[in-house]
Amino acid sequence: MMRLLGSRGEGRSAPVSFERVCKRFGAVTAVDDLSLEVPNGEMLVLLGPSGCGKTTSLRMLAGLESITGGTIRIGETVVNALPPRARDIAMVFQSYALYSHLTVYENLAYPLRVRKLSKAEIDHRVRDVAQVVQIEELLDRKPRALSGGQRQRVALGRAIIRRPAVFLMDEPLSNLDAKLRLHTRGELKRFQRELATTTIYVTHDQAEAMTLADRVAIMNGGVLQQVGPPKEVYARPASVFVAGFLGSPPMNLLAVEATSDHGAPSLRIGETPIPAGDRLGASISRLRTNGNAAILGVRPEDVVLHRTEEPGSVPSEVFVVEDLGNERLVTLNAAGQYVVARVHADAPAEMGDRLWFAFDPGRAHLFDPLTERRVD
Amino acid sequence: MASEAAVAERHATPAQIVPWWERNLAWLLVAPMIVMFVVFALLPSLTAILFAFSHIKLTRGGMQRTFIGVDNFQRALEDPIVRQSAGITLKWALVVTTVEILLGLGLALLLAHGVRGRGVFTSLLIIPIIMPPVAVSLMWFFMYEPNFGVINYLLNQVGLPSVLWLSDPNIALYAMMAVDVWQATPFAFLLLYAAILSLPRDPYEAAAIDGASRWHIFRTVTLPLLLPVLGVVVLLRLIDAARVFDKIFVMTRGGPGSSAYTTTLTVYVEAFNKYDFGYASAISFMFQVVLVIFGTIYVRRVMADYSAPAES
Amino acid sequence: MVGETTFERVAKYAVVAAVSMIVLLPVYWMVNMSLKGKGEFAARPPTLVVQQPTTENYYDLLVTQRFYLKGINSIVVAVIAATLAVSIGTLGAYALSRFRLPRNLNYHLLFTMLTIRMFPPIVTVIPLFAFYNREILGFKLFDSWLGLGLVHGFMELPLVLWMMIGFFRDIPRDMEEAALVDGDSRLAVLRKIAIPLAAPGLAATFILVFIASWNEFLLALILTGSKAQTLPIAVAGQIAQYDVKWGNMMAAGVITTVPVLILALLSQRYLTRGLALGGVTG
Repeated sequence: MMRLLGSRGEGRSAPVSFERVCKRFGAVTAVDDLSLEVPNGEMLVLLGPSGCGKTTSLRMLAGLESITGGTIRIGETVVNALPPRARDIAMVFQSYALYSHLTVYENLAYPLRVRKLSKAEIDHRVRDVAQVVQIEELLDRKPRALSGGQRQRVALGRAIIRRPAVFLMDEPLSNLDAKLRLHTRGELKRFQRELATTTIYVTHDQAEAMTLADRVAIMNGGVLQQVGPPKEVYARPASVFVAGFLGSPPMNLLAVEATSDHGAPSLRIGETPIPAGDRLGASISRLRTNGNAAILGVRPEDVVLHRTEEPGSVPSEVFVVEDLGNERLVTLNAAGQYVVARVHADAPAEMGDRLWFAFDPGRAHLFDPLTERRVD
Repeated sequence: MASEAAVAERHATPAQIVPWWERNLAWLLVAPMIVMFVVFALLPSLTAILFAFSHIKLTRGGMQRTFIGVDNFQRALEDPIVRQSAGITLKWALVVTTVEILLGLGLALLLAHGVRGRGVFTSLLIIPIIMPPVAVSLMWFFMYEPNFGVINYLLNQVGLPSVLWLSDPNIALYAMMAVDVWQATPFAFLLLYAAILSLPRDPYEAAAIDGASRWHIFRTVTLPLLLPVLGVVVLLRLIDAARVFDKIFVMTRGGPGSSAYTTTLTVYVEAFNKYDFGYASAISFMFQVVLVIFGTIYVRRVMADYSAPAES
Repeated sequence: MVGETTFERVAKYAVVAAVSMIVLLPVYWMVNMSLKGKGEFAARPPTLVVQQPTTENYYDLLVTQRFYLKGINSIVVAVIAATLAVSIGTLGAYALSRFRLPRNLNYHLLFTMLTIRMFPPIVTVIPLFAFYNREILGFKLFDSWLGLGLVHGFMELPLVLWMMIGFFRDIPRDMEEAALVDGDSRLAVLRKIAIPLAAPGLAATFILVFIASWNEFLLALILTGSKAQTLPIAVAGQIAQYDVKWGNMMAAGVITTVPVLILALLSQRYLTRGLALGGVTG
């Protein structure tokens, strides 16, 4: 690893910028007005459900997909019309896309041979990288004789051997089994930090996104929803979509009524009024809706269960209880709205029990039901 | 949207990185095949139409062409040989195709449940398919030989009289059809058999559970599933059978007499025995029009599954 | 599937045996007779298995009548045709399966090229004959290897296109994209990824075109004279001779069949794919 870092120099990591980028396939808009700055050396994870435009964005950056509108830059260069080979990028594909007719050695050497490096230089680098990704003993094999994990390593090796300005990774871990995926995830993070090369990483797996990313960019329906460090995105989701997408189980989203109780702002869930407190109260005053409707977001871990009625608690019935070992998930039915509470494994709850749930308004989130954006 | 002019300005570099031939690679890759098409199909076809409206006289240095309007077509429509050969061609195509498809389909259905030695059997059936038609013709010509051919010998052995297979005008055409059936039935079989083996299993099981009869299953399940492939095979055989030339030419030169003149043979004789290019072109042009109709349907069928790639 | 009765199973194997005999016996008889000398050939009843096998028919045909020259013609023409059709067709197939041309040209181009398959050659051969007999730069295409090879190659373009589009479609798209990202141009990807991966199919396609050209009769008959005449045309002439040499005729049948048979065995795996486009029949 150190040697690899030490010999750096020809490839210099570069920032990436998307400026109002659009992609249309006929009448379908796959990516809509995407603007995104990725500073040098950052690991940015594009996260979203399938079909959200994250892979299309990556492929536009790679030059594998034409750009309908807007500008993509790598460093100072506008790359819109450049072929992939002129963009100084390396990519790891979901399928690994190893050259099945070539040996592992030839796979690793491929990007260098294309660039007509000397034989000695190529050999030196191939062995170097093989050592880094621990596939030295596999160099003479063909890809079909490798396990899934080994293939993944070769694909990674083929990407880092180039020392490109930007790494592109399209769900590189999704074809690995769960255990190997966790292990590789950690390794990947170390590689990225040590190489300090700008990396755009596409995944639909939020755990992967949260653990790997310097910043996460969440997309839905071709539209960028929010960009920020994992902690921040988790703590302050910018939209109903982000709130409902992140977290496992995701944030509870409840239709509430914003009212005022003797001048103090409060919320009403069903028939129950809940004093909003200062922070949430301020949010309520900024709601721009015509009526009083709002969407309230509460993380399952912020839901507190009571066996008896307390002030500001909402009556509900236990719909189902799921034990996870160290904790349990209690799904409540509160007048037709479902709320999940993540509670201690010993917390008493049985299907059909009548319980009251409450939450700290200071930790709740408020969204505008029309724009579905966060209101602060 | 970023200023288009500014973007265009910064795009000046790609032109140097991506040379013109690479930007137009798709066109360059299809160009040779288009050129071939123009030189060997389009131009000859247009010339053939021109010929068809002309009287052509071959001279020492080349040929003289005089425009004569539709005379050639008129003559062709009244020419008994042309009419007769059209009938023979039609008869040949229909009989040969029907027999080959029925035999091939029957055999394919019979073996639908699998058969031991399938690999060997199908390899065996490739022999007639790929054999040069000339070799097939020579082989059968010799077996049909009236005096010491093996077929008459076998007939005599069981007490039947010899038959003049290729020199009796009432028999020759059918004898040659049999040769075509020998060569092309395996072709129909292999395609249909491959299709039958790749049919989904579920409908059969469902039908069997419902207690349907064999015939009912064939009519309501197998045949509809098989129909697309069957259509392709029928069309292909029709088109190929209608163009028959080599076997008849080799075995009897269209004879005895002109009793086995197919359209292609008639055109051949007019063009290369009588050197009447104009007249021959007129006949062949009408022939082509008919075949193009079937051909277009066939190509459309074959291309039913084709879709263009999504992105460049 | 639903079970078979014993009767059906017996009937099935009986039919398979009968069909095998019908296919094989004529071929066997041809080989058998080709190995018989003059005396044995005329024997009545005919010997079922040749008693004194001799190569005199083959020797007479190939050496005395110099048919080996026709064989060389056939090989050269077929190689020209196959090289031409496979190279041009492969490039076209790659373009049609990787690039999206405007106005749905992918479909229309392929459609147009596939219609070649159904052109009756008798239509175009008359103008071609006239054209081939003209001198161009002091060279006449009539009765030349190149002239016939060009037409044969053209006739088999649809087959090549059809087969190669299928083979290219089987190549994972990612793999080619990886090569693009790794620094190749599209053309380099075709050369370094697509063609090596499609190599077995490419070879099979080459063989099928070779066979088709080797077997072709009408065009070869019209567009060659004595110089570039192919084996089938020369061999067909055996019938027209007033003094028919039957042994030679059978040897001729065997000689024209054997190369094709060997090649077909080599490409058997891919043969059915080619059959959908009529493969080598015609």
